[in-house]
Amino acid sequence: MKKLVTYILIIAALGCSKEKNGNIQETLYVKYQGASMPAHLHGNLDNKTFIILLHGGPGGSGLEYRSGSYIEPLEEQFVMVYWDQRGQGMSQGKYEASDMTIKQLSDDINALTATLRMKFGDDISLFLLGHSWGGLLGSYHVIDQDNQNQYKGWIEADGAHDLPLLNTSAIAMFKQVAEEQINLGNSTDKWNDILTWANGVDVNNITEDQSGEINSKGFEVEQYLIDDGVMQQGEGGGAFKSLFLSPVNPIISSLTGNTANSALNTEIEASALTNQLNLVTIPSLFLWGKYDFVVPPALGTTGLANIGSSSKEIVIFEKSGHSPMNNEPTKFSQVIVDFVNAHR
Amino acid sequence: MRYLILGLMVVFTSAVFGINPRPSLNQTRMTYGLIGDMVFHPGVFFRYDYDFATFQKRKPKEKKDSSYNKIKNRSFFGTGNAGLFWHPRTQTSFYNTYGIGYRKEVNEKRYRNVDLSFGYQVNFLPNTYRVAEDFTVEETGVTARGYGVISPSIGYGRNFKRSHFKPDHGLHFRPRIKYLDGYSLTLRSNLLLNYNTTVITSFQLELGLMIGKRVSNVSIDF
Repeated sequence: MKKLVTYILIIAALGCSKEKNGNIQETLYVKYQGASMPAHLHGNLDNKTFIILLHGGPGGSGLEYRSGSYIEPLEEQFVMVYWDQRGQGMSQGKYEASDMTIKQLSDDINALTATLRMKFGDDISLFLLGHSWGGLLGSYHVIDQDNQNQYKGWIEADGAHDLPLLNTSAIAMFKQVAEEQINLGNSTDKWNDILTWANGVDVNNITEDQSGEINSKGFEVEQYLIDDGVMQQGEGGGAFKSLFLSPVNPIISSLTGNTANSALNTEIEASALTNQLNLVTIPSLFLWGKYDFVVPPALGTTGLANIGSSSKEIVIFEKSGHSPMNNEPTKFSQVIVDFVNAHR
Repeated sequence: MRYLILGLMVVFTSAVFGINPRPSLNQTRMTYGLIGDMVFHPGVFFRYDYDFATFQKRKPKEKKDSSYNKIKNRSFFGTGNAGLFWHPRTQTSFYNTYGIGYRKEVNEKRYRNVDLSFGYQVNFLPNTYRVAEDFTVEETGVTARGYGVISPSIGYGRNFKRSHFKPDHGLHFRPRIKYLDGYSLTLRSNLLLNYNTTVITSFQLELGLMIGKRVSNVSIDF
């Protein structure tokens, strides 16, 4: 038994951290209210600037976002914090299903920031970057005055901070782009089907099922646009890395993520934060793909109009869909680097 | 990492011999080997099976002039499993289960088995920071999360023929190989109970080397 314990401790020690010349490659666990949530830190400590990445889903994982060339300039200058939210990725623990609320997940972010400050000092600069569902969670989080004061800036990338607006905007966008593409002669049969489907949706009464359908068709039409050269092909290769080399077990991540998604779905569908964005006064950056049907750019433009920040900006990626970090990685990372350097 | 795995294999080999030094264990088979929680999440395991009921089915050989009968054994067995797997920067997991299984010989060399075990798994999480309600933070180092486990598995095995081994002409470690009875390949699903708010499963592939049935006439000095 002694041998076993000794080996476990050796393995654990090997696994802790590697810091050299300002570079950090470290995984730490935040244990808070029944959950142990991993944060994977990668990048450069010299600037003491941390970007906490809130993944999408719900049901994704932080390290899903550590693929593609966009991370290289970011990790070169800053520490990227790839955070597995409660009940997702490789987060684990024991708690009640009733604990899976947006408020709880927002509190979890505070547990993470408290840990980072305890470990790296109170003088670190924190930025929050939320993509898709992470955009909703991040918006919810920074609307609270105490929470937002922790950050030098808020970056929302294709964030779903207003589901009712998302659904109605998406249907309008399906119709508009379908007509444009049909007129251009691009994938006309497929776009005609989309147009027929969109015309059949009652925008005054969009159900949860239809909301899910909007999501899946959003990804579907991105492929049409890529095939016709309207959108930039996204970077690939991430799947292989996450399956074979990442510490994220895709089966566990998928199973636990689906449960988290189900637990949060009703609350998410009812979330409409646009009218509360005036409470956000920290510098804010909105990043949106022009052809994002999953979370249409209308959320970005209304978000920009409503947010209370004096320093605010929106960048539309002309050849991107829901994940501009994959479609236009160089531009995506550059605007973040510029924003963070301007405010850190 | 390669040396660490080899080191653990040696430890587990020692454990195998240490656990059951009695000779003449015809009803037992012990297996140790490598597991993968994912392809590159390696680990080691040890498995101990004890046959408590064996039924023989005899079939006359097809050739008329032969007096030889085919004998197929079907056994119910009790089983104990222990495994350890890890990722360099995240979690190290240890599981221990006990259960029952059924083995059916396909022919003299090959068999298939299924089993169902119950036990627990402990995940050791390094570099943990415990955050209190008031967001005060305490560095706690390695912490553990334990889960009840239900573990069904399905496996395939192949027995070696004795004549395959030539202990007199071996390398340093060669003599040990002569005690191997066969190999097995098992797909195991560890259902973790109360993981977050639900039950999840992790799949593991076990590649094992079997020892035990013929350990009676060998020295067990390591």
